[in-house]
Amino acid sequence: MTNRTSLSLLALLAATGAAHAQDKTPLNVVGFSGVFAENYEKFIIAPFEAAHPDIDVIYQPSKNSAETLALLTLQRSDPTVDVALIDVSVAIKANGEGLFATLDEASVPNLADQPAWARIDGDKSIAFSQDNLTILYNTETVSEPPTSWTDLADPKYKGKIAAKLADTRGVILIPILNKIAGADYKETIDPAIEALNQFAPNVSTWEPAPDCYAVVQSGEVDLSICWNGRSQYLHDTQGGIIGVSAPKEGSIGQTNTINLVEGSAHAEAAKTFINYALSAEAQATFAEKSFYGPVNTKVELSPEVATRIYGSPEAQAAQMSLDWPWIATVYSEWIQRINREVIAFN
Amino acid sequence: MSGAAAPAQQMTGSNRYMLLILLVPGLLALMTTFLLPMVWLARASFSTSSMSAFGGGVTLEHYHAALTDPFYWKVAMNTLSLGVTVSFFAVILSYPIALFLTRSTSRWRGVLTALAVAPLLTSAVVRTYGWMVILGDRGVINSTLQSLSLTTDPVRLSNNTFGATVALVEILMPYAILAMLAGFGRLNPQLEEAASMLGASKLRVFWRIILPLSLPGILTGALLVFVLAISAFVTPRLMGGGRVFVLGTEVFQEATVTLNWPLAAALSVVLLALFSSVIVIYQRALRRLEA
Amino acid sequence: MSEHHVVVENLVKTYPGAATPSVDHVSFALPKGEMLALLGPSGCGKTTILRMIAGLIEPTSGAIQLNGREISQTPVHKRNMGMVFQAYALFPHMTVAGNVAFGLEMRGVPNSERGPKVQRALDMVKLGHLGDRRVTQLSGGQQQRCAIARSLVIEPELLLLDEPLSNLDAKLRDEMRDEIREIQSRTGVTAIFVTHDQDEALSMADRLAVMSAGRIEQIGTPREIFDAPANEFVAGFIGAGNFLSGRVTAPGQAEIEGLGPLRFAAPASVGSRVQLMVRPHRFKLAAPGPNAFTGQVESLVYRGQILTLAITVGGRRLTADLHTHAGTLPAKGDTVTLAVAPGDVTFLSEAAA
Repeated sequence: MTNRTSLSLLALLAATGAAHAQDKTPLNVVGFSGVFAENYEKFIIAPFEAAHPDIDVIYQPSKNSAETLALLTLQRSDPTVDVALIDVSVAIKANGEGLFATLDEASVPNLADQPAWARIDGDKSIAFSQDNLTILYNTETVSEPPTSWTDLADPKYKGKIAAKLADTRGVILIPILNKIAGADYKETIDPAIEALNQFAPNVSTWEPAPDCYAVVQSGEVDLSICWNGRSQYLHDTQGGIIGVSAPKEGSIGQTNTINLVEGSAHAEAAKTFINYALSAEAQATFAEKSFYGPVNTKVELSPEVATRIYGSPEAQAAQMSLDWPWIATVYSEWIQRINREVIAFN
Repeated sequence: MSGAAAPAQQMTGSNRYMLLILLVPGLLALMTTFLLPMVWLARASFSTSSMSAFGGGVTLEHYHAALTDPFYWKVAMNTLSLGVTVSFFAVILSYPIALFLTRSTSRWRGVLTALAVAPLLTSAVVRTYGWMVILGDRGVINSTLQSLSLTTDPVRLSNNTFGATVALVEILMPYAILAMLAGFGRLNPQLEEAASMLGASKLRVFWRIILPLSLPGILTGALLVFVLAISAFVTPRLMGGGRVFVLGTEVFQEATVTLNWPLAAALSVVLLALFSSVIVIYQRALRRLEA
Repeated sequence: MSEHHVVVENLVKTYPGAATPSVDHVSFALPKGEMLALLGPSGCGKTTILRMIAGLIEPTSGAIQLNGREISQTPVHKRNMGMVFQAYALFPHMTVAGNVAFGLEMRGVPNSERGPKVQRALDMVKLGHLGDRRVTQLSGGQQQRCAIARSLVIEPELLLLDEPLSNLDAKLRDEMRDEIREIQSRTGVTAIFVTHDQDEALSMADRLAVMSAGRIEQIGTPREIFDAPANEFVAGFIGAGNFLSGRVTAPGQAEIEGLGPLRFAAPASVGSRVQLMVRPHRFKLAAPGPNAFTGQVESLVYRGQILTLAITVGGRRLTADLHTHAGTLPAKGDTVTLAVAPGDVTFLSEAAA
């Protein structure tokens, strides 16, 4: 590079930098990758930036919540991240380490519209969407889709189910199966473990690769227990090979939280953004586009969208939510039980 | 060059100084990529704080948890048995190839050697997917069996220990071959000729001359495969369908799913301690054999 | 045929892709107890012959008989031959005794007989006290002895030695040369050895076969080979020589260009061209006369017992080896006369002019 070009480049950089400094507050948001990132940037960040020209939201996709947590832990003395979108179970872990700041209704007025269960750890982590656990199936090999979680135990599916359960999926499935058995997950999960063992012989793989969607699409298995949002997206984009069948007993969502990072340099802008992300408007748009269940109590979903998120009216009525802080205390224990009492024997 | 090759005690002061300077980059790299993470890991395994290695107090509870849990002992045994099985088959299958490559006088020998270790150019993950295509319920073998009407239901070849073993054996074979090629230095066609001249049939030449002389290479290959097999986690996880519990997959699970980093660190340290002692014993035996 | 212990007939080896054979119709025969040396420059095919006899290389054609039995189809391990390799090829993972016992073990000799036999073999090569050593701890000469003991303990029909002395230093070489010869004659084993060293061949072998380019040029006793070489190659390869060519002017006399007349003791027709040779040690200091050539000493090399000098006569160089006890020795620049008796002139070949 010649001296002149490097000089002019430098000038250009200085000019743009100055423009940022004068006009725009940078806001670093770390969150989920893939389709979520696409939808979030398009339907939440873009409208927000249009309404707040003084804030420049920079979205960094992260591979998973554990990785986000590692990043936040590493940067705790001097965070570059302002807002983190992470799984509720990881958020609770992070709160134990004091990584997130407390929000309040004065600076985030939309907090008032969130249900009590969504305001976690004293308003440090706020649930903003729930991605339901559902059953997806290969429409070419399954003529009669399952309608109930108990259908998973049907011998006709022997060796035809992919179920990655040694993570949040298992932790969510336990209360569902428990409820079907009429038990309270806070008292015992033995009935759920028993139910898991009933369909475990049908499971081909507990570690579907590359993921729980691809194995259905490729025909390697007939059924897979996966998240609704991505399943619906694949249903729409992959020519209908993937079908989604929300069981009638209802489901629980993988809950995503939005968090203000403790020590953020742009806390005010961050709160403005969080307030928007929690608004009924933003959540409704995101629900329609991504089929993630909204949390804000003011959101009214059209019946079509509600069906694609929660399933039949019967399933919608049976939709559950969890006491996540309590779940966090048993999270490892439950996964350990799934590993040792179900997977290790099947 | 001659200075570097000379024994250390004959080195002049300035030579020693040069040597030190030459060693610095390597030592620094080793420090930052190996020693520091190891120190971090060791410290994390004693930490009371679940997320930061150097924050929090010091506790032995994670070691207590790891060592008193019979499940982890079972997992350690699984790991050991997977390591032994994989080493056994990788060595059995690699030995004839390595022997052929060593003894070959063909001008294609270089090309053949390159071909034998060429799989190292692709990642283990890619090759694992390859094996999933071959061994899957709807994979090449099962569809062949079914189209020949030999079976009706798919034979479970993957998503279990068998699949993980097969894939690991294949993935680690090039390492075994390389180690053997390096360890076959004492093989010499004249020794085989001498034995035949003394009345040994081909089979006896193999048992009495080739096998004993190639034993150091075999054992080095076996050790290398064993170490790589017991520390593998991608292949056991993907090919095992989640059913193959080894220390590698457990560490991964604790680190990324249940986010219990100190326990993950403690398990890693246990894995390290357990198997470095195996290696030390093995090396001792090997040295005695070579003496 | 039956009087011969080893018979090789029309043995040919052509390697795939080679234009000319490495071994080209070689035939020879050995009576029992004889030691034959295959002598020649490297690449002449001598080792190939040895390896074909051993069974390590398959001949392209030809026959090999041992004790009147055709063996070219017999596998190596059933030929019952002992072989001493150039690099000894001792088994590094066995002791000295283990190496020697190996052949007995392969023959199923019971353990109780094996021990004494091994001990006797080791005693024979003066290694009786080193049986428990690892072979890697032996010196070069000891390894050589061990290799010999190993090949003889099986009481082979034939002992093959491939350049057995080439890995030893000069002093050891002389010692081992005598020892091998002594052991061979004591055991009476028929032996063939390969060498490129004429001294070795001359001093050890009963007969030697001089080879060149896959063929045997001459086979005979050391004396026959040395004194009556069949051709210029043999004469040149064995010992030094002054080669002189000229025209026969009278029976037993040839006119050598630049030297004048030279008398020799061989029939040759007058008018033909002959190739003659005088070994350097055949020259003697003498007064001028017939069969004597006078010239100035150009170089001198004093070797203790022998003085090698070169004189120039008529633009030609003659080399002579003189015994140092022969009175006053010439110095450089002296004019001397070298004479040779007609019987000491070697006749090599004759061609019509």
